[in-house]
Amino acid sequence: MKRPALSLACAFFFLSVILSVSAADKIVLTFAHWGSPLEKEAMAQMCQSFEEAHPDIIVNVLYTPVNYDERLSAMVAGGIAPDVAYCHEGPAFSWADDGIIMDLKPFIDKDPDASVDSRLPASWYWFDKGKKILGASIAGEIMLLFYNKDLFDQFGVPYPPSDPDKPWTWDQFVDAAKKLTKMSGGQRTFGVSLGTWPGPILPFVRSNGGDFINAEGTAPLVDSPETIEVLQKLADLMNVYHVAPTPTDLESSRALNVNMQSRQVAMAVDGQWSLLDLAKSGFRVGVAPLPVFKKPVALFLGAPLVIFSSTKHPKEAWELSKWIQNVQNSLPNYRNGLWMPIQTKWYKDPSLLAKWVNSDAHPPEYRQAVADYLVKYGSQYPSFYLNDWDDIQRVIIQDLSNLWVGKEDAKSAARRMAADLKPLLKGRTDK
Amino acid sequence: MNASPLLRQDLGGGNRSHHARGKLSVNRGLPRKRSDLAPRLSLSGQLRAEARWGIVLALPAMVGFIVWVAGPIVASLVFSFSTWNAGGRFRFVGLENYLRMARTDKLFWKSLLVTTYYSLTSIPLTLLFAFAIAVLLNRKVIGISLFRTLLYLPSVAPSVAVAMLWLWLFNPDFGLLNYLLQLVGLPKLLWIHDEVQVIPSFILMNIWRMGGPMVIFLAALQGIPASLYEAAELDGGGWWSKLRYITLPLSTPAFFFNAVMGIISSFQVFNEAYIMTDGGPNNGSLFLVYYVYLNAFRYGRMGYASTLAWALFVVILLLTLFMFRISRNWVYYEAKGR
Repeated sequence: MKRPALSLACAFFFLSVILSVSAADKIVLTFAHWGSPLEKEAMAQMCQSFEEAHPDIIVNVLYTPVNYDERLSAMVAGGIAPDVAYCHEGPAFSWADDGIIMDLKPFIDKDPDASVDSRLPASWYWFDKGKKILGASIAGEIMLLFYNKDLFDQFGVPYPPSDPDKPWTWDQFVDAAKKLTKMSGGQRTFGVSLGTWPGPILPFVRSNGGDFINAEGTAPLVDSPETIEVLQKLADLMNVYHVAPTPTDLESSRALNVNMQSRQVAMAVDGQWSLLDLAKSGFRVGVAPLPVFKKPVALFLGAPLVIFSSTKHPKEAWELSKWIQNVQNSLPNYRNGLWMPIQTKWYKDPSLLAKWVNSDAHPPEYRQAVADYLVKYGSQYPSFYLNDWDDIQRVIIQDLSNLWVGKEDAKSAARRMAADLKPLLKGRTDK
Repeated sequence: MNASPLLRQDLGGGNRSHHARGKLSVNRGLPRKRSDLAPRLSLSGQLRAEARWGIVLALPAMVGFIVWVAGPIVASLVFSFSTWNAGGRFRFVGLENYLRMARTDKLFWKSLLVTTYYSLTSIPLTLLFAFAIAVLLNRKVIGISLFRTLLYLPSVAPSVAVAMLWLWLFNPDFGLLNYLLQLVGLPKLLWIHDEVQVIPSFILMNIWRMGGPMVIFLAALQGIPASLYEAAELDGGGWWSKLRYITLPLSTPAFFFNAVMGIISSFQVFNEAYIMTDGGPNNGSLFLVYYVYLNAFRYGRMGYASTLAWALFVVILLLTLFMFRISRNWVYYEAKGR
């Protein structure tokens, strides 16, 4: 009994020694990421091209579509953290403060290809009161107004303007939504759908001069009159004008692309990434800047790409992280509508802009309605600069849930939320 | 099988041991019940080998228990006094987590309330329902095994699949439950999408999965001697008397067992909140275990999550002890008498 096990163990040991020796002359980097199967394929290809360009480096790609945070935590706790990884903001900030994630500022200061100015100001994750950088967003995303051009034509409603300087006013938007809301022959169409997480809400709130939390990140601002006004108006779309489905109506349907394709909704406030699916759904997709109250706001979202301090090859890890964020190396992810670049030159240089915007997925007005909109009116999602944002976000979602189904008005929901948010606020990471 | 070595010692050693080994004189004063038994320390070679192999064969389970259960339990107790996060630095903070939980964390009290409400409502209802079904299934009807299988089936289905299924049933727009309500002219409900209706909805779902307690009740019912019923019939007792004075008293151990297991499992309810509601709406289904999960894995506060987990342990322990305490007053064991 003992001997076969022993010899097996010996064989295994020698095999692993041989393997590690043969790999010893090459540098091995581990890169962890999440995403759709499509993204998995694109990342694998990208890492292959990196290996071809750097023959002395092997990239070991770890793809984890679900429970990513749990796996990453376990790896970090077990002392086998990856070298380069996608990371959600919550753990990223706390690990950066503990020195587990590397400060990239020294690299950025020395590297003209990735200087602070070369990327959108909104894309950086600063920490330690703005002295250090834990990374830049993997790619860019903003909140947009998507619409079904076929439906607009059929109902004779003019398209929303694509000029970010002259978008729809709130009233024009509500007007259009009313015209697009129809019930005919068993087919129910809602004018517009919007999610109830902070993403689709915050740009309107900021457009009116309000916010959930003040600019210093120290006090709730959700009970300010400007914020309450917008929250009530958003809820009125569902419960007064009935031009938007309530969360329980939304529940009944499938993904946004299915809802829009099956004409259950004519317009939708959603993230730019939805273009990937919408472009393949068999109707003419339109994109427009969000309607405004007082000033245009383009809400910028993302998630950081980080390097763990435990890496044995910081220089090579930095090269890999730059490679990942370089638009040229994963152009398919940009051309299919999933991502937007974080490098300013991919917006400012017309020939580079054309490289990703002139695609089958991007509608003709995209350049003005999305690219220009972001460059001109980009405004960071709070996950870029607030500690414990996951916590705060959950409070916002839960405390507003009665508002959307019409069981509470914006004023009382906002007051309750302000009280619940207060103990969670610890200032900004970047100031 | 041979009697265990331990038993032999309990029986006071043996006659031969006194001659063989004076060391065992501890037993000298004790009455010698079985003088032919071998003493503990003079095990035969075969017995010694058996004992050794016993330990070797039990080792995987023992190591597994220490590494996967006992170790983490001790670790979580240590973590509960720290602000540790997976991979992060360990900072000892004394009782801070416990004070924060008790004094300032509104969501902890909310989750405790929600969980208690769910448990204390769902356990009695589930038990009553399971008992009633078990009584019905205890009859001799054609196709009874088919009925038993069908009613037991939901509790065998994986809970994630069940959650997905009930998401459809609960759907306010096209769900089956609202369709049935409409058929009989009742207004639609929001089910799990309403702060007030969410817990009753989950209780309904739990009752549907009462196969486990039901089988235990059924076994208890089948263990009741038919002679008791015959005696009752001779005395002119009807179905009610039989149920009240024979069936119910003799099923109380099953009730007790199911109630304790129900407390333990329902205080740990998690999947429903995780898969169906994210603890909402307005934290209406924020179960304690889900709140532990949020802190541990979403907010990265492993230390505080451990504190919450220990609070949950204490709650379950106290309730179980309470159940054992009051069981003396209502649980009837035939062997012991009252």
